Amino acid sequence: MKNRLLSGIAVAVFGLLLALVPVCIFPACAKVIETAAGGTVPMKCFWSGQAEIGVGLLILCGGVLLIVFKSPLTRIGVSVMTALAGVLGLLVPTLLIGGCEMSTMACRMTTFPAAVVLSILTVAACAANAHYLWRQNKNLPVKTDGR
Amino acid sequence: MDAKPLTTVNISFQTLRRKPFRTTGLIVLVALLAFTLFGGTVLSKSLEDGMNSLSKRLGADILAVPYGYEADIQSAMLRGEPSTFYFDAGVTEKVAGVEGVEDVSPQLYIATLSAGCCSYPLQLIGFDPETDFVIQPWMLNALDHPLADGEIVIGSSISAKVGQKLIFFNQTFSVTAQLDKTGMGFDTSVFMNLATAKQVARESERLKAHPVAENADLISSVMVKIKNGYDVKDVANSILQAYAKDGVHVVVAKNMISDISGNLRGLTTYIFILAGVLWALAVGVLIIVFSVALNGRKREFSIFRVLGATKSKLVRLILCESCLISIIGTVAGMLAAALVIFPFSTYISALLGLPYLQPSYGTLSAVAGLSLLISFAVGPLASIYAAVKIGRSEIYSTIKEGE
Amino acid sequence: MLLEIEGLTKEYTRGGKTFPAVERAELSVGRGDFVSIIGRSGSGKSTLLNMIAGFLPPTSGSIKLEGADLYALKDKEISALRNARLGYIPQGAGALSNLTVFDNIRLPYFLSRRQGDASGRASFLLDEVGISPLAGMLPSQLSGGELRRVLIARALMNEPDILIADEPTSDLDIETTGEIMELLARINKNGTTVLLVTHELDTLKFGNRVLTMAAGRLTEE
Repeated sequence: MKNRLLSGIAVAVFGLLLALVPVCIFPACAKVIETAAGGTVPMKCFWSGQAEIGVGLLILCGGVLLIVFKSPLTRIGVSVMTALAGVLGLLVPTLLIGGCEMSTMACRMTTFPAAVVLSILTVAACAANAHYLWRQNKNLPVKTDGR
Repeated sequence: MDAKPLTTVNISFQTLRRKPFRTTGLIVLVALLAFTLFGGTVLSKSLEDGMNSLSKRLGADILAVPYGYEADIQSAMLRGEPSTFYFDAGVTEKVAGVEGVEDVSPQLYIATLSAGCCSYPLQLIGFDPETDFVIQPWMLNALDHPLADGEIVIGSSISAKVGQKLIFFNQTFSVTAQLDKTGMGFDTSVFMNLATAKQVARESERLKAHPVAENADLISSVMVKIKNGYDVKDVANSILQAYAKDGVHVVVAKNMISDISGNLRGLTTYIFILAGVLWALAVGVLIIVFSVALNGRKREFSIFRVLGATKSKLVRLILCESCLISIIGTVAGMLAAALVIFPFSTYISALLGLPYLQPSYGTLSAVAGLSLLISFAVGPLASIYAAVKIGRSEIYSTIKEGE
Repeated sequence: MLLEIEGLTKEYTRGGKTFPAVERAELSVGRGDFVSIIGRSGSGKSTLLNMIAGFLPPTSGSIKLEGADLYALKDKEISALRNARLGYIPQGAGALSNLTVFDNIRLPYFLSRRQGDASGRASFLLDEVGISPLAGMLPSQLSGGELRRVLIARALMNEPDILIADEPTSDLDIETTGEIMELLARINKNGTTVLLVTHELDTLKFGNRVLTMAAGRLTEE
């Protein structure tokens, strides 16, 4: 019970933070560039940020589900999927969408590192949780301590 | 039934698990120490490397700038903050004529509103490839010809390849060289010859008025190299005396560097004092916790003896417990430090406003190894007293005292 | 003879005066014996038992387990002997509070190098002393009688030659005392030599030899 609450809350907090990073913690660069021709184009990093919001919310839901579900098997499934969402959070700024060309831009300096760190923490927490539950579950049928 | 064998490590692990509060507290303490030790060392090493690289390769002894802009040239050089200050191009000739001056080279700074990649003010620096001795030493690939019009050299933080075309203000430039990582403002700057820089200034007129567009005979600073045997201070004074009335002021590079290294020394000292205090604190707290716990655990250890554990087994049990705490704490602290200091390195250097160069992987692993060792040593050091004491006591007395 | 005690004396010095806690005790225990030593508290019976178990070096005299003098051995050797051949049930709460019941019982197996099925033996003993359902619990969750059974099972883990119990029924109610003593008697019947000290007359009927300890002197009835 204590572990269920703890793992769920930890993952939910990581998800919430990840969703908030582009919104208010470390926003990406100003969302529109003015071209010399006078038009306006949103930059890649803005879309990366939007995608991270989505991934963050998905992870947040994963954390909540970890608290809601009691069955260890279901929680293993949720953990694995949430870990994969974390991998997605890792891939968006690095491979899938990316951001500015210059490493001193807001997106590459703060938004992406924060997203990458939170994604790594999410993956680690979910993988550890899945591993722990799997081992517990393996022992369950022969366990005699009645817990 | 979990049938894992009851090795020393497993027994210690079980013992730690039954006291989650105490165990977590001790691990957090060690983690804090490891975090400070590793993170702090990497930080100060990076700043030191940035500093060294700056003082080693900054070829200019004196920077002549318009009066009132001494601070701006520093932020332009160190942080690449776009600056706009100008004086007449004739200053170059004037300064060159001062006694003790060997070489002079003018530079022109143009702050852009937006560059091709991003809506971020970018520092464009125009320099004279013929006389330059400041920019070229940083180039990764030597130029086979003086920089022609329309050709640019880019700082290491700009991700473009040599040979690629970049567009600023509707003009296409071809990247002919890239600078090595400098850890300072040069990393985010774009360099071109003076004629090209003036052309860019004229183009940017369409978006915002630019002084260089109106008067093509402006430059921002003059880099000065002095002759051997002359004192930098004297030459700087001579320049001031002769041309202060024309609005020329000077920044002595050595002073700039010694200012930074002064800050840096302060920071490094602070980091190491903090790490030292944390280390002593961790060792002290662990010694107290283990000694106090020892009295309460005499009965437990006598039971081990009754069951046939040797004295050395007891010593190993205690050492193992403290080592588990210190290794878990150390690894956690160092991972946390790595998650902060590596992804956010650019942000940290921007916050500090100091040249920041991450050390090589070899240096990094040496720092990591050393931090690991120092932080891990807390465990065995703290429990050695308790271990020796329990190893000496007789079973009969410990059974009695434990009752 | 399994255990031979000759001229065993232990002297204590208190306030500058030397007095004997145990004086020239003689005792021979054969295989399969069930020996009870009764005496008031302070009569020296715990001191005697601790010397026999190898915890307390005597002032003079010798204790031989199948001919080997206990106090001529090094720490490593006497630890190994204690681990393999002596099953000791300490007085009071003698379980390790950080380990589960199951781990407490199988612990002696892991204190020296040996081969075999530790978990199987521990499960067998849990069943033998009648506490199988408690395997995963911690000692703090157990009653006094259950705890005593854990200690007995643990003492039996390495199939010792002799089981030594220091007041195994102190602080237990009458009913539980009877159960524990019957358990010890059954273990004795299965071939393990039992040596216990007690200050309760009720427990004497379970043994086949009774000795009395009074003012440091041991006499057989």
